[in-house]
Amino acid sequence: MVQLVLDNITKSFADKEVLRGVSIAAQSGKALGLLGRNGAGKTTTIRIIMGVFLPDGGEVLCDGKPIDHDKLIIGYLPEERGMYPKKKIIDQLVYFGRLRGMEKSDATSAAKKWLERLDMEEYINAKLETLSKGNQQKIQLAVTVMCDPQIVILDEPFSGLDPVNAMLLKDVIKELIKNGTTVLFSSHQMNYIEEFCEDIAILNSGKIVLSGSIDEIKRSYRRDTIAVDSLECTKVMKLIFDKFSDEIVSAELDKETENRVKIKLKSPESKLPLYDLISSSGIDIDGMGVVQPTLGDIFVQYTEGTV
Amino acid sequence: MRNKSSGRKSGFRAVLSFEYMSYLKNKAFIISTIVVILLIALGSLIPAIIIGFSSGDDEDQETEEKPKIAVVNYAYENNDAIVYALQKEFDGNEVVTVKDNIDKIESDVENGKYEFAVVLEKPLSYKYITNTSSIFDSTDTIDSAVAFAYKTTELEKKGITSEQSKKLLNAYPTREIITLGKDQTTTYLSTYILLMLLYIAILSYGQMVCNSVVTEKSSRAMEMLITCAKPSDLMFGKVIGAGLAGFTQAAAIAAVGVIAFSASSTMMPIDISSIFSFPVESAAYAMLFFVLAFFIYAFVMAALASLVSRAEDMNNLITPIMLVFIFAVFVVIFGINSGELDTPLMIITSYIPFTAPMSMFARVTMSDVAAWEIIVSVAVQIVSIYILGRLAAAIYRIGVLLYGKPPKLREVFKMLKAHKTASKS
Repeated sequence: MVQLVLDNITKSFADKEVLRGVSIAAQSGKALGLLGRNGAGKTTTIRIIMGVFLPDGGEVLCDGKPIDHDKLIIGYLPEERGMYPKKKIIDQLVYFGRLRGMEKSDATSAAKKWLERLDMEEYINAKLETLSKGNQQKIQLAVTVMCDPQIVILDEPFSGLDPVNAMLLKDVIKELIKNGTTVLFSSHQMNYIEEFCEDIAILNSGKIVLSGSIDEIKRSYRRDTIAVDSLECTKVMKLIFDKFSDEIVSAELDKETENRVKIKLKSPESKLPLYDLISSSGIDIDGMGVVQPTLGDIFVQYTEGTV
Repeated sequence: MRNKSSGRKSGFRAVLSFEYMSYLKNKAFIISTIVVILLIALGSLIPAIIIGFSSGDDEDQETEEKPKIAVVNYAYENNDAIVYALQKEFDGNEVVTVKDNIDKIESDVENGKYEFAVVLEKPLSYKYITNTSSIFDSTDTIDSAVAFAYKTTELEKKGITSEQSKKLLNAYPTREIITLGKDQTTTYLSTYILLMLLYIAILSYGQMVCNSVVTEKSSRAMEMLITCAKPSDLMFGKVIGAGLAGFTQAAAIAAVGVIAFSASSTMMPIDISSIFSFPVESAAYAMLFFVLAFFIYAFVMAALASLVSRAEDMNNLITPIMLVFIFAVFVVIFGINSGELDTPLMIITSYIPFTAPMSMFARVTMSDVAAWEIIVSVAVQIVSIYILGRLAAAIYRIGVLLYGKPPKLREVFKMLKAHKTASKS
């Protein structure tokens, strides 16, 4: 079990302040989504965790002690992918394994195991440049995980993968989480973040502007907007304006889908009476529920207008 | 279950063996080694082949007619003295006396019947008739032949027989040269060849190190490497790996060279084989200075290459250091060609790190250098290597994550300073 904590990290390059007090915590067996706009400081944060840069201030702690890169193994899939284009795949995998301290024989067998797991065993002796982009990415994923890291950092792991490979990668990530690996996941594809991560941290202009469990963050928003899905939306609208107009702020057809009515209540407490009214009206209803903000909405709200 | 991984401890060894093996598996590297080996094997045969051919020519000439030289003698009653004197000087020709008039002789020379003609008008005055007039003409030789004929004739008048006078006039001293310093005639060629090899080796290995750094950056493999190993391990592993590959290549070439030349030297006359026999001492010094030069230049080039993100930008950045190197080599070539190896320029350059390996090597092999001078020069180079290595590692650390336009050197030093204070606090 590994707990990774960044405590008030600051970092400047020349006169530019890149990180201004970043604190995050990641637990093993869980995935933390690290979000932020381009240039928010994600890569710098990751490089500080990897020990490429020393922070100007603050500490990186692993289980309460300063991180020791000689003992802790971190697998990192950088956003800027790339390995040796003209070298054999097996040679590269073994090399990266050895760089992380594996014996040659261990590295060879781990490389073979992961190539098999990722359906890539036929390319074992191929040169990297002969592979498609998605397949090159799978090789890089193998490099990231082959040394059995306690912490795995994935930066946009899904970009460039076809749906079948994306499924394969999802399985791998879920397996890592299940096996107790601490996963740090950075992506702009919110659906993947929501799929894997229990917790998120949003980084904006070198600061964490929001962090915590996704569920709790969503629940913290006022639950006063109700969506009603029905093929008879006009009937629903008429019913609400006739019988419930005192309790609502507004009711309108959803802009994106024609078959949804969005109702904003004056108070969240009138949710149940509204449900009762609609269900007893006899109108054919496909579904009803509280509209939660999407992660994308939350992200935009916290990072809009800044770089 | 975790593997027996131990973080970054073994980074250097992994980088070293990966880089070394990459060179040995590289097709261009293998092919160039084989080509050089073949050239050396072929080169070792050339003296033997030339000697074989020229000795064959000699045999042929015995049966063939020798080109003729015509002599028209108006000066002496007797032709013997002048014919003897000319024949003595022009061994490969047949000297014949003719009594034709000038016009006939001129046309005979023109149509190639005679190589040239000498019309001796007075004992010490002659006409030289030839088709071609060049700075390599034979007048000096004819002068001495005419003078020889005059002297023997005059001596004969004074009662000395022609046999006696010939013996006297042909008398020649024998000499023995005792060289107290280095004998430049025997070391010149070996020094020149070793210097050229050093030149080619440093240029090509420096380029190889640069390419390997830039490839890692441009392919973005560096993004992963830098998180798996310390930048200093990456840099030292790369430079030393290339050095070992170079050493392996040099050893293979040297082994073939030694075998080929020792085999062919048995076929050569001694005076030629002495030129081709490399003094063991020179070869040992060449090895020492090659190693020193390699590290001095390779560290600088690795550091410079780390600042570049695309191969196209590399040449701009490494050109200055290349020019320094080429300058150093030319100073030394100039020195060994002039035979003046202890000029102030040569002495100064043999203590400057970037020129010392070449200058000191030439001075050691071709001149007399005190032991302390060699020790100081080598010490200067070793200290420089240490400093350059540390500096290169520091630049490398910064450079490998820089993308875009390569920074100016001044900016690099600014960053180095900033980096140092940052990592101390």
